[in-house]
Amino acid sequence: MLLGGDSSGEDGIDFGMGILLGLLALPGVFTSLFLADKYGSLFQVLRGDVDFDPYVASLPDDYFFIALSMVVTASVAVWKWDSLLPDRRDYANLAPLPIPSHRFLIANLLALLFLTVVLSVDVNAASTVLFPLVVCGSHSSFGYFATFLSAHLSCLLLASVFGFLAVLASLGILISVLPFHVFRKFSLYLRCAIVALLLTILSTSSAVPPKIHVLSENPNGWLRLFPPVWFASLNQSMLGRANPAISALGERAWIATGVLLIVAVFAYGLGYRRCFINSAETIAMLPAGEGAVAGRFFRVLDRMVFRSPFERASFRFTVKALVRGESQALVLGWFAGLGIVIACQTLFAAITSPLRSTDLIPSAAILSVPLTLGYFLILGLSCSFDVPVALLANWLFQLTVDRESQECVPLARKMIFVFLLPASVFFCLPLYARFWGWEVGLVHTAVVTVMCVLFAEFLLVKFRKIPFTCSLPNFKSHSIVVILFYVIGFFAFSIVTATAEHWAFADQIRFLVFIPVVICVWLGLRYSRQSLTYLDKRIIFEEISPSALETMDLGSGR
Amino acid sequence: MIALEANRLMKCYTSVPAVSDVSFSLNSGEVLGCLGPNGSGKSSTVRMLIGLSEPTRGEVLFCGKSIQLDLVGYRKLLGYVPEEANLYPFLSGSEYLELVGTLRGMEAPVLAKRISSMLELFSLHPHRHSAIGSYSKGMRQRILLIAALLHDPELLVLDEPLSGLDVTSALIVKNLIKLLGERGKAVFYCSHVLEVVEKVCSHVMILQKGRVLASGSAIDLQQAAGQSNLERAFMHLVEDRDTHQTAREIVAVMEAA
Repeated sequence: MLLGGDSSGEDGIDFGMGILLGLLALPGVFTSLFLADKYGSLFQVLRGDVDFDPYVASLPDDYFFIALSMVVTASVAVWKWDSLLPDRRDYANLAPLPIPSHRFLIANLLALLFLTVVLSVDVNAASTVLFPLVVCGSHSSFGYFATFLSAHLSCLLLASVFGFLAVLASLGILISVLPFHVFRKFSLYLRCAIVALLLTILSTSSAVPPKIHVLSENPNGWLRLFPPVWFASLNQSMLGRANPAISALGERAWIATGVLLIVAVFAYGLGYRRCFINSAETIAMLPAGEGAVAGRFFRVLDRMVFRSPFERASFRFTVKALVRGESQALVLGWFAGLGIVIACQTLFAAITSPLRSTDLIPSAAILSVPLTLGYFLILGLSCSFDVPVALLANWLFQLTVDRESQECVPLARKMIFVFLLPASVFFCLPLYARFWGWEVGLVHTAVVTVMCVLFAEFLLVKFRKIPFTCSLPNFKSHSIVVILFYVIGFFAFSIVTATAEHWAFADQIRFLVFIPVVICVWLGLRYSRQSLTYLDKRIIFEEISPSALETMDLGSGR
Repeated sequence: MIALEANRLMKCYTSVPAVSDVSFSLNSGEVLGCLGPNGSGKSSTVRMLIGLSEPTRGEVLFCGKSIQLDLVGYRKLLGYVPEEANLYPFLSGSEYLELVGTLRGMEAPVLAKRISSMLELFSLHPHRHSAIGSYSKGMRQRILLIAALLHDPELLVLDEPLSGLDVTSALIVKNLIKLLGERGKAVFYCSHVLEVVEKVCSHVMILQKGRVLASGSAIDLQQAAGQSNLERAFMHLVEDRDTHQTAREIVAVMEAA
């Protein structure tokens, strides 16, 4: 891509390409390995499943991989939205060079395609190798394996291409049709809508597959309009397990990808012409609007929550950086998306499981849903606070903020709760009260709120930054430890708490056990914060990692 | 009355001195120009004056007290325009000024009124809701100037404040600096543009290699160097290169086969 959308080049969100590719490849590796028991011949015998057909049984898992690859490539296109087409800065830098302008188009397009291919291969590589091995492991025929592999691979690649082209075509059409300032305003909403759609695709990946084979019974079902269903149907067609209705849906995958290719190329060409060749004529100023609703929102919070000038100014700054900063929104979006997907998968698995006698109270899985969402939202906010925005501009805070004031922790705490508590009260309480009564709803909302407060306090023990104003901590040196910590934290926070809560719901007197535990944890966190030295509480603007080798500097005293 | 005073300032970065021995005093109502070639220690001196870095040795006094004793109180009375217009590109001009004013503890109604008036006077009102990322260099510079003036500071530290400004804006700012001096503000003015320093500043200080090479009024410096204007005096004191000869050599390199 040419210059890209983010003008603040010193932001320095650099997780390292290796770590990014590794993270993206992980779902394919783990999902393939976790499926070994489903397809293992020993487990089939133990289950008494003698008519087990791996081709048919693999549909839900194939659907998940198809959804994943489609979502990843589309997400990359949404992430690089501002770089998909050249902008005025590209024009200013490239137009004076003695190079024909169509070469820029080709170079930009090739760079985008390369990025898509790399990410697509990365996301699908592990599942392409491991998943067919796992599925066909109990069959000795190579032909059986080869058929599965080719169907799996072609559907994944086609789904990836479809995801990318869909975003590219949307962008090209919009920028060709709309006036530039309308496009700028509208593009944010479109990006949000695409992200919501992608999350829906991933979140429903366990709920949709059981309905695919019964589509012929319902010729007008909305599921026929769901793109991943077309690719899953194509997969079943290639494996020879499709009925006529599924075969017809499979054909849609080819047709839709072909049509999208033509539309995307055409729209991209038009958009390119408008963006690059005419960019000298476009107006430099981008109207941003008054933001009256946001103004009222801020004023209400000023009166109720953020009382000091520092808190008011920093809260406004943080919200705007979070909404408008690409890297910050990406980090928060990644965590929120992961939380929503895990929560939805857990919820679908829980509500489709057979009813049991204890269903008068929600199961541990259902109880874990808001905890999972809370965990990932708090973690996402906390991590996004670490990502700097326009670091060189932080001189303003250095010049105006009292470093000894220790206002950063209250600020971050209030911000987390402003984002989280309304969601907890307005969604968790009515939903649980509706299905299990007000008593369960109130108790569960209280548990979720208390756990979120404790978790936020835990993350803020050593916090001493104004969000987005400090240089990035060195993730690379201990990234594995951090990821492990997050995974263990998720199990402790979400699974263990939900299980304990479920146990307590059986006899509500057991909830009394929680009170001393919560008090002890709270006091422990408070003590940890208070025992920090004065220097560890000062506001910092630069994260300095400890040197691997420190000298004693004995000569300096001479 | 002496507003700002630097006593034998020294600043070392990993034992290399950027500023070796800088002393001066700036009275209320004075505009002190600071001149010097690249690497003379101007930026390091400015950072010490505004309290963004601590001197390795020496001290900065404001109204007779070390600024380190009450850095927060000192900064409330300080307006600063940095050399580089590093601003938050995702904020609009109006939002940035609101951030600055709120951080400085200004009351919301007063702040809103001042921002609106300042933006109007600096010809930025039509662009107040546009993202700073889309501003030209001159527009960013005007935002920096407004941000420095918004809270009516007693002391102004201006590092290349005319950088990128158009002719009209530059004239306005030059007149503004003179006027602020007349109104009793102390102004420390760093620049490479000698003509502007000559016209705007009541006193001039020339730095070289981290030391004060000469100081006094512009006329004193011209007379001491035996030159007809400040530019010639500066060249006489600081530079030992023949600039015409260097220009001729550059052209020769360009035209060489």
